[in-house]
Amino acid sequence: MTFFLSARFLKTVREYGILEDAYNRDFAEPVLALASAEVTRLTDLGYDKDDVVPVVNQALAAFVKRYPVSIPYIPF
Amino acid sequence: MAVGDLYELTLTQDWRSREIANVFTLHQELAFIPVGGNPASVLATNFAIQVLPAISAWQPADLVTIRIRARNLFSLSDDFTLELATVGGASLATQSLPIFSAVNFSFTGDNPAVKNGSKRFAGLSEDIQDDGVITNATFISQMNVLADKMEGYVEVGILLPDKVFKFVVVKRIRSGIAPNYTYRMPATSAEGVFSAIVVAAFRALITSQVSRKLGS
Repeated sequence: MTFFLSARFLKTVREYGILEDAYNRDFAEPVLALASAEVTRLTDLGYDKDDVVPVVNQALAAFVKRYPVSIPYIPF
Repeated sequence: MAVGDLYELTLTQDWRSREIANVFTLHQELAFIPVGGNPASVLATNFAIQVLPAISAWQPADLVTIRIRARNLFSLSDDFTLELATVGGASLATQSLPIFSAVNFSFTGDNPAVKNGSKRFAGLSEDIQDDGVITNATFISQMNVLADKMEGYVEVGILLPDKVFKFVVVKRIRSGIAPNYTYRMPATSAEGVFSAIVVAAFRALITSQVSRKLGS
C-alpha cells in the first residue's frame, strides 16, 4: 500500500508552520482543518485511516515545529 | 470549437459599485456537440453551475456575480456572455475586509515552459482571519472545495459528464523591445502554449490585488 499526501496539504501546512514561528503563536485550528481534510481525502480514496493518520501526523510534526503536533490535533 | 482550443473565461463581480474581475483559461480536451448554443456558451453556463457556487458560497451577500464571458482564443465566433445576478452566500452580519483584500491561490502547472499562475478572490469577512492569517476552519474547507474545482475540469454532459475543459495557465505572447514589452494571449493554435493546473493551493496569508485599489 503506497499513498502520497497531496501537494496542496503539504505546501499549506508548511506555510502555517512558518507563520507559527513568525507570529509566535499557535495556528492549531487551520492546521487541524487541513489535516482533517487530508485524512478524509485519503480515506475516501480507500486507504485505511489507521495507515493514513500516522503519516499525516508525521507531516504535521515535520512542518509545525514550534508546537510539536500529533494525534491530539486530529480527534478521529 | 475543437479539441485543443483554448478558452478565456472572465468572471466579473460587483461589490459596492466596483467591478472585480478574475480571468481563467481552459483547454478543451474532448469533443462534444453543444446543444442550443456554441461551445463557449456551454463553458460559461457549466462554469456557473459547477464552479461559481464554490466561489460565491463564502462571499458576502452584497457581492454579486454579474457576468461570465467565455471566448475561444482561436475563433472570434465562439464567444458568449452569460449575464447573472448571483449573490454571495455569506452573511452581512460580520465586518468585511477592504475590496482589495483577497485570498490567493497559487497554481502549479505541469509544463515548466509556462510560469506558474495565481488567482485572487475578493469578498473576505473579517472573522475568517487573525492578524492577516486565515484561521477559520470552515473557510479553509471552502477553500479546499474551490481548489479542487480549479485543479479539475468544467464537465459537459448530463447523464455521464465528461471532463471537457481543463483549467490551465496560458503562456502570453511577448512582443516589443525591452523594457517596453507587451503581452497578449495566443490567437492561433500554433501560438498556444499552456500548462495544466496540477496543484491549486490557497495561501495562509491574506493578500491584496493592486488593480482593485483606489486610484488604480
